[in-house]
Amino acid sequence: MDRQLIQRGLDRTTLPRFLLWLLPWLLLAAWGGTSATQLFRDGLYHTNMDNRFAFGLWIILDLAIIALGAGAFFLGFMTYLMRRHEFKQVLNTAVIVGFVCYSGAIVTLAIDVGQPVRAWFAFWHANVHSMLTEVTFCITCYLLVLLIEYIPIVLKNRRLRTVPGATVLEFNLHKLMVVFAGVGAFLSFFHQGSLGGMFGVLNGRPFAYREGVGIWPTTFFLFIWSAISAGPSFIMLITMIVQGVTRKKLVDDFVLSRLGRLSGILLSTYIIAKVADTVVWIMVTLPGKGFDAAEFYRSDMFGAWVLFLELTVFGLLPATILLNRRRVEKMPWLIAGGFLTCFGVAFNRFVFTLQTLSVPTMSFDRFMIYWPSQQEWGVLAGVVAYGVILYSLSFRYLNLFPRERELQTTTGSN
Amino acid sequence: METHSKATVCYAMVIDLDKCVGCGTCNVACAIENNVSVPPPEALENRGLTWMRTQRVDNGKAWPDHRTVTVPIPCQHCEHAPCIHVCPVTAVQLDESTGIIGQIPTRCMGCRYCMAACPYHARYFNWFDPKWPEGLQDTLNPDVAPRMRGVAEKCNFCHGRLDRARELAAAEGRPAAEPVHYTPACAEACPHGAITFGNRLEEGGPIAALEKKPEAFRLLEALGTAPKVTYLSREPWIRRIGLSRLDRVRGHGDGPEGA
Amino acid sequence: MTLDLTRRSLLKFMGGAVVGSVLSPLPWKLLDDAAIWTQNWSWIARPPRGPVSHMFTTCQLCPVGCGMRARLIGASFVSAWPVVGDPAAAGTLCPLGLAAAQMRYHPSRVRGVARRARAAADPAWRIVDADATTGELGQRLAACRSRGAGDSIAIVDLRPGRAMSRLYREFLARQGGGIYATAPDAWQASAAAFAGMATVGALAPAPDPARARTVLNFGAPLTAGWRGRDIVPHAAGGPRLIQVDPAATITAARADRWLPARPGSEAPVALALAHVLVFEALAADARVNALADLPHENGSTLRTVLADFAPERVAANSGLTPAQLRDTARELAAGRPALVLGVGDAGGGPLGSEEEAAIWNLNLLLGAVGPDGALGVRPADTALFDEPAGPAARSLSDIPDGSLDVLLVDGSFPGVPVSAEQLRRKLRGPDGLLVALSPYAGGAAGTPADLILPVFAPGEWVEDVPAPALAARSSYSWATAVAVPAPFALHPAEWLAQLEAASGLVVPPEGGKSGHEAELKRRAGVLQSRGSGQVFDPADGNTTDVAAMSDPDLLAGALARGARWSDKATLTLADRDVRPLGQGGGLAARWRSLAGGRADAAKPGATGSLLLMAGGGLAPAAGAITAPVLNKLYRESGLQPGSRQLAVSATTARALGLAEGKSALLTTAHGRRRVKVRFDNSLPPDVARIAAGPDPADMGDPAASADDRTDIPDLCGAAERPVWRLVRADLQEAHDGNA
Repeated sequence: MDRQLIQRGLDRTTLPRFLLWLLPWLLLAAWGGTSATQLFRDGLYHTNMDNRFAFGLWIILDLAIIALGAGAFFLGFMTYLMRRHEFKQVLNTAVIVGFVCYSGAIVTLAIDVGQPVRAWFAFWHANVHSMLTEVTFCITCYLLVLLIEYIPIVLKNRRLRTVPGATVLEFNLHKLMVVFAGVGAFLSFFHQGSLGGMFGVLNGRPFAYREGVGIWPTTFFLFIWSAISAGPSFIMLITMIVQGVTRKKLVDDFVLSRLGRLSGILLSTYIIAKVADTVVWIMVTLPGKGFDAAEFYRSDMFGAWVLFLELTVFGLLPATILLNRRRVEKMPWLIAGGFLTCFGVAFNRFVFTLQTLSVPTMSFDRFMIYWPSQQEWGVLAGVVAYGVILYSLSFRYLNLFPRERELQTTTGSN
Repeated sequence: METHSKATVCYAMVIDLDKCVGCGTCNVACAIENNVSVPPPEALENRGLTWMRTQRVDNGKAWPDHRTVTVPIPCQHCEHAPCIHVCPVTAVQLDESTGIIGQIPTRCMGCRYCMAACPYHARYFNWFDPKWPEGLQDTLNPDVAPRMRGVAEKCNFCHGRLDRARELAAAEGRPAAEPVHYTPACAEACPHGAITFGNRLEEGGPIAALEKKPEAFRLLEALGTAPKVTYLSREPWIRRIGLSRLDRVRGHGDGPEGA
Repeated sequence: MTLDLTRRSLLKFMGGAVVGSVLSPLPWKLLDDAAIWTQNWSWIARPPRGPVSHMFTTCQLCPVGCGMRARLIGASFVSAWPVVGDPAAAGTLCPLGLAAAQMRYHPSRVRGVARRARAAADPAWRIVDADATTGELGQRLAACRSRGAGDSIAIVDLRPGRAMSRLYREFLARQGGGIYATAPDAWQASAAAFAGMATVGALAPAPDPARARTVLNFGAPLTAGWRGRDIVPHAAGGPRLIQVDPAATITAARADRWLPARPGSEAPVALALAHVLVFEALAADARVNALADLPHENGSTLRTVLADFAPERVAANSGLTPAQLRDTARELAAGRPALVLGVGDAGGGPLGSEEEAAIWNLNLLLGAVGPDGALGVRPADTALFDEPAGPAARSLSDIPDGSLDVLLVDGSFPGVPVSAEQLRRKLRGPDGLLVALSPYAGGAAGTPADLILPVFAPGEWVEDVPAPALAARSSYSWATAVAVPAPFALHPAEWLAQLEAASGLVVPPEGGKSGHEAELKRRAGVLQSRGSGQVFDPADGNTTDVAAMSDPDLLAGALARGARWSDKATLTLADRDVRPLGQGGGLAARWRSLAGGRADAAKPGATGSLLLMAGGGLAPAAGAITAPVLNKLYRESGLQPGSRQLAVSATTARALGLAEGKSALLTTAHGRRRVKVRFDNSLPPDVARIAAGPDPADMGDPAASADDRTDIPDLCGAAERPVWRLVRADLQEAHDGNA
């Protein structure tokens, strides 16, 4: 049965080895499941969040994985709308990674809210002024788009192709993919932006608050920009990891280099915008609200190194690496650049979520720190494990890399 | 100060910090009036529900120059409330006819975005299932609905008492448009008369006069949230606690130690 | 026409049905119901329903006895609010009183006669048979009586002066000479020190800051909720306030002059001030000279004692300069009528009889004792109510250790700083039985008890509330019953009658519940027949002269509705009726022994690096039972420190290598306790303070207990010495970290 599901001509490892590979991830998923059960049953007191740290590990996770999952819409946009067909080699991976990231984020959010049974109130009693409403609507719609994009990949499975209706559906969906790529890009732009807007509109939290451009704060645009910078890098890293784990060549090297360079170009422009934004924030926004940026970087936990790290080590450095044509041809440089870019965007989301809550607003507030509880880590582990498991199953039973058959020179393990 | 063009009522509070001695009566009176639950003893710090938080603040100096003040911090009912526009489920609303920022716990889905938005930390989350020791629910106030776990809550200027006052006014046949006078629990209970509550739009009323005094200040005024809670003190160092941290440090030369 | 049902048409029909149903109310109704369901879970607490009404009563949670407006929903007593215009505490109520409605449902309430074997491995409370227990206790009393050992039975009354107090005394008299004892708190001890200097009996001091131009105050938080009677600031027309306080408290900061005297130096400071008055400021005053030269039995005079307390000699040990002392004394002399108040931080127990006597002497020297002065004098409660003489009240510390077979403690009042250890020591070996008449398994009475009789909780029965010690006026009111009594609760007088019957005596008519009610009525009658004073009616805020009340039932009726009788302090204490050095002049030697300050005198063999002060905060009592909602102050906002937090200045703590929030072990010569370090820069160097109040870690959860649990009075050695507010202590970081 297992063999019959695997695509013709693709070399996949034996079922027992595959199950062995899944085992640790299943254990992590079980940890996540146990944690989620506890949280649903007893409430959020199992976390280490409190009245000050209203947001914690999960919001950082959500923001980070949604930013990293941006490769799905951005590569779709590049492939179908900008007609850069070389990215078609990794597009299926991008769609699945995107699906994993977005569905994982929604599951985490469902655990994070205090009243999950009322989560649908975001639609029922929607407040159109709330950035979070915008996020909720766009993420939900975009997840549907991703699902639609995922379906044709699934329908190409060897067994499913024997069902006549499936083939027709797959063919029809495929024709519509341009439309979905367009819709997806539009939705994604909005929710990446509104996620940034969520922080930028906090006029009571000077650390996060940013001046508006049009009706949106600058973070709206910066979050889009940083997400599309990191998205291609993340897809590139994932592809490399898959190649490494399976010990197979799955895509042409030049595709990886172009992904890296795409990141580099976007990241360098992002960093310019980010620096400009930071300067305006320090010189105009904060004094206007009676604050001084130096105050925010005075604690043991968040020193000025935070800003330095974000702009240089996670900004300028990967940008210089990935912009260089020769360096992106060399795998170690590509990996370093890609990793720093991805980590940088996650770090940016961490800073916006946690430092915003950590720094004092009133003169008599204390700097506070927070460390997640076992259950919070459990949910994070569960989400990561869910992603790995879903991707592994997809890789085993679906044809994710169109060039795999031609490129295969060595025997794989997965 | 922005006011609502047609409204004749805008409730506001003035707290005289020179009269406050930090006894915490307002805090307890509020909890009793509004059925605020008590988290279990094993609850982490900073997981309490203190609609009227009483925070001790000092001048950062050592004995014998050390001075403290207790600042009661209810929801500031900002004119430009940072919490209203963030709520995805419209569970936070400004009542244009009273100026009160209301929280609808039965609609709140517990995303806590409003808590992240509030610079005064005046919003609280029900981390635990609100439980009362056996029989104690018999001492709950029927005018205020008890909340459930997983929702945010905060001061609403004793809306239950406002409703009672309106019922009374209606029973006495007074027109509905006429402003209603009432006293929130904290103002009633304060043994030192430090809390004044009333309609700031009332011509010649006590609130308007107190708000104009030179010793009046608000918390984080520069943020532009325009709180409806005003503080009074004749002590310059106490007036400085309303400023942001930096301004206060400049006024002192020494890092303040918040309580 | 035939019905041709194909698969396609079925699918079409189903699709149409789905689309169509969206246009029907059905899905929307379901959504709406789902929304309502999430808002009304069945396990959300349901408040009582019913008509709103109010009753007036008196708070019984501390001796002040503030007026209280009870809000009732149907028959449920839901909350307590202050009574505007009430003379007891200027119409205010503190957080304890506000939470009074919760006291009936306190988690530590005992739901039956409870007993425990303290020696057993598992000393948990077990509900036992009430009648059998009373019978057994009665036989014990009978046995004591038959062997002529009536004095091995004692009752400790933590709220003397009530109708119930009289019933206790009469009960003991009938048991063949049992001991009636009190355990004076700081205020009662201060009043007792005053009474000890008068040669005429049954007087109580009635200081009234409102009548003074200058007030000198030793440590009490006069501007911070001092027994509900705040002093009006000088700027607002109140007296000039001079505060003697080791710490930079709110009262110190708001005072017109602050004397940061070292803790323990109160007696020498007061005597140095008296020295300046006698030898300098009022040296020309014949009255002052007569008082100073009044000879005592042992030949000493106030003047000879004061000669040893020149400001120059006192300054070194008190941390004050001679000039500060001189200026203060002159300011007092110039700012008459002046009032000097003692008491100190009441959370740490009595200030000390020597200190209090020195402070009352200052008042005597400054004159103005009597109806027109700042220090009024009123009759003691026993005199007010013409009580027949029963066994005289003795202080708990006067009962010899190991002498009692049965010790009954009236704990209807949950919070009094009494040493549990001291109570246990009075018992004769392991067979001695400590019986608490208390609603709670905890607090002053419940903590050391072997047996708890579950009496009514506050608000469940009618009880009288006499004027608190140091009140400016005489007063009397009834705490009326505002709540339905718990079915398991006992009336203390009723149970006492059962016990008396079980001990083989015939209960006379003045015993039992009806006897208690008769005594309440009798007291109302006495006040009515005296014809002086006024009655404040909380329902309308009006005050009526008692003289206008023709019938004793009128006054009793008013009291039953929550009214308060009060009367000006009309008595005078003539100089000839005063002994400044106490009866027999014994104070002279005791003062001289305190010349270096109390802390040094009390220093145990091992020198502690810190001087520990007990008290601070709301601190009603050691191990006090406080309503669950008080968690808002103790745990949730950290406003009140509680008895597991040690306040110490940042500099001192860092010198000991301790950071804020660190768990540490506090060791005195009497015990040790695990504490959390809390920086409090209002304290002088090398001084630490711990509140004798409730333990925030335990609030609402009496079952929790730590191995190294020592109540603050016992930690400070209250079992061994009457004044325990200061003790030497060592502080070390606790490395096991499970505080």
